[in-house]
Amino acid sequence: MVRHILRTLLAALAASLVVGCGGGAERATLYRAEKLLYEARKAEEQQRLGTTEPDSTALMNLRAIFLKVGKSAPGPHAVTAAGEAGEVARATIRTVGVAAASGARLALAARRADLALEAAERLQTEAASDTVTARQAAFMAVAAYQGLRRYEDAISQMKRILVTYPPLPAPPTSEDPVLGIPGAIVSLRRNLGDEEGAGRELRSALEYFTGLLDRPMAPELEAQVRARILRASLELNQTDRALQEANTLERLVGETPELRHLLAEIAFAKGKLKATVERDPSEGIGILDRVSTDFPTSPLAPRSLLEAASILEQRGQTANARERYEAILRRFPNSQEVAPLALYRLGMVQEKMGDWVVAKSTLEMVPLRYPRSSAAAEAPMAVIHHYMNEGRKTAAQLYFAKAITTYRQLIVRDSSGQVAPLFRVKMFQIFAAAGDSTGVYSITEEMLRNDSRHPYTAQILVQAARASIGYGNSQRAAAYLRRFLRDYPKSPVAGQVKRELQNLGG
Amino acid sequence: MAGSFKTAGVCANAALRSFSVGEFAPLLTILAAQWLFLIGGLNLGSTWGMALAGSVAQRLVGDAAIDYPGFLELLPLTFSYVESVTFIVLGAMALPSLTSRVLVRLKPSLGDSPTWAGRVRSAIVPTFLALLMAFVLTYVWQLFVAQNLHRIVGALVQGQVPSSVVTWLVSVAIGYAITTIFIYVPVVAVSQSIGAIKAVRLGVTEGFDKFPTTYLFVLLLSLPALAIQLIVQIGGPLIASGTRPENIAYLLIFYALVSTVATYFVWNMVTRYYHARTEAA
Repeated sequence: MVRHILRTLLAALAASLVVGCGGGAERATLYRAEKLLYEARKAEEQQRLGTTEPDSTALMNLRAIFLKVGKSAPGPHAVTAAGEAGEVARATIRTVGVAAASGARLALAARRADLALEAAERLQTEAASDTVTARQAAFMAVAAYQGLRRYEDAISQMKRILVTYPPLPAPPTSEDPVLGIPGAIVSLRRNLGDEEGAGRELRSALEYFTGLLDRPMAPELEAQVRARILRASLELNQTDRALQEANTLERLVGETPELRHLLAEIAFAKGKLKATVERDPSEGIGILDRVSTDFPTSPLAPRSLLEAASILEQRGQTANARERYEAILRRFPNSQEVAPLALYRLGMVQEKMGDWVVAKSTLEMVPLRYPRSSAAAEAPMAVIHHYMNEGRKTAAQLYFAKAITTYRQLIVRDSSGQVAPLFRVKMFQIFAAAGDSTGVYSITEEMLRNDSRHPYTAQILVQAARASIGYGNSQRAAAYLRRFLRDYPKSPVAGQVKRELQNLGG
Repeated sequence: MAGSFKTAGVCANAALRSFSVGEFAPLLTILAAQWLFLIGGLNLGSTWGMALAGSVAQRLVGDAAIDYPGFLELLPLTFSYVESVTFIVLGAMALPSLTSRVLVRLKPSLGDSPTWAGRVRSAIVPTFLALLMAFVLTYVWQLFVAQNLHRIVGALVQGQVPSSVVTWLVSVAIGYAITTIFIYVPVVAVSQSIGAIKAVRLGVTEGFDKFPTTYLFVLLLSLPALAIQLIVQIGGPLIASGTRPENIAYLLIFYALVSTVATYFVWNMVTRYYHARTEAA
């Protein structure tokens, strides 16, 4: 019997060798990596299903589980090898890449962007031969730089991605994230308070997208690129160009039924163009209104209403504008991009219509309902400006304390959030207006601690230095200016700051 | 007919009560091969596991069968092929051997015959042919199940799970009926000194003659194995996602054992029943 079993076992082993075990070790490595990735995902799923949100320790523990994947499949991987060996190597490096990206995501969530950056840089080197993974690592680096508040590095990294990785055709309802990069750069510049830089980047974006059209591409990708060109030219008020692109895009959509989802984009552009260019905006406004009803699930639905409201507000049709702002808040209250601005503008329109009590209550609602929006930073200032414009200086000064409390609460909610520096800037402005030197110094120190190298901090350092001189504290003023020159040596105002420092005897 | 059922019942009872390691031993080769594949599958992260189970699964089901957790999710399907192949190839040798040992126990004088060992060896070819034919017919039936039966049952039975269970029950019932038709081939081949084709023909005739009683007891003796198979095949995805995917492999290891034991009892009972009917005639 034993002889029989042994014979069978040997036959099975021989059969397996005959059937083929070429690349068995590499396939086994891939399988191990896949298994560890599966287990890590399962562990994260379990953690997320818990009653409480995982804290930073739990997140770092989860990250450690994801990092095991990379350790189980150490490189180098023969990605360039022909046939199955190359395929296995690519699959392995991609599995490692996915795990590394998850690890980086968890590190960012645990406020350890330094670790995320380290992982991204390592993966970029290790996966240089596999474009998919290297690209993923490049995106990871962008997120890590932003987490570290190294915004200029983040922008440089995004620009590197644009140069290195051309956009790829994606399924019709989605698009390659590379196409979103120019817009992300513009938004980042805006969030940093650099409107001029944002305009420059917007023009670069238009140039980039136009350049993409020089080479042949799939109709789906061409349509997506043209949609981006359309958006950029609309933002830059290049109406002729925008109209031309809208017509081309319309023709493309007509020829390719899969691109029908772009109809919202075309209608939005045409509506906006008509409403802005024509003397009577009603036809354009009608088109914009229809976008929100005909394409209610499109991100352009709330935007079209906002656009219509904004145009009507500019033309003095405040009642019609108010109607649309209210419609946004009723139909799209969770649109983080549009709803906060709509609520803020509604308050402003109500103020224009003379209903200050309601307007004030609307403006005070903005930080409560949308605490992570820049509109939340603007709303308390709008109340102060109202009092100032009416010449009610005491009322404005009394409101300072309330505004400061509001900003402090918003910062406590999300101290490292993207809008937190703007809240601090607003606090600084209030302290400066109130002549509160202690407040000015403490908020400047807070910005140096929390928003180091942020463009807002640069502005605040200069303003705080000038305010310190006013308070008779030239030593502190010199310290702020020195810090400015250390942190922002390439700033266009560096020369002027140097002169101011020399005047102080620094 | 009632007498047939009674005799078959007695034979099944005798088979269950007289388990013998010596008679079971030939089937260990099938079990060893199946376990080797499953244990290799549980160690797919090692080179030997990938070379053994991985290469087999890749060739049987495709590249998706060597991913994690794809390998384990597809294991019920992959293992059904491995089970068929091992049963046809190794079963062709093991079943005549098992049958001969049962017959010798029933009639010890048979073992004294100088041609006995030769008759057992010559039963390998007809047994192989019978198992192969049963497999081909079952495979064709499974194709029909995949393409049509699921749709038909789906239209008649409400709900995803009940529909899958009914489809599986119908599929297994017909599959076992096909096997029952060929079940007597190794017994006839060992019992009578005849050629391979004749043995297959006579065995199939026996299968048809004794179909109702044999089919009933084959199903009864296979019930434990069928229960595990039902859990693995219908609940496989749930086991994989709800617990650990490896549990599918552990269940299949257990299934292989129970199924081999069931095979032993089935052919033991069938041999006894054939012997009893032949003696009575």
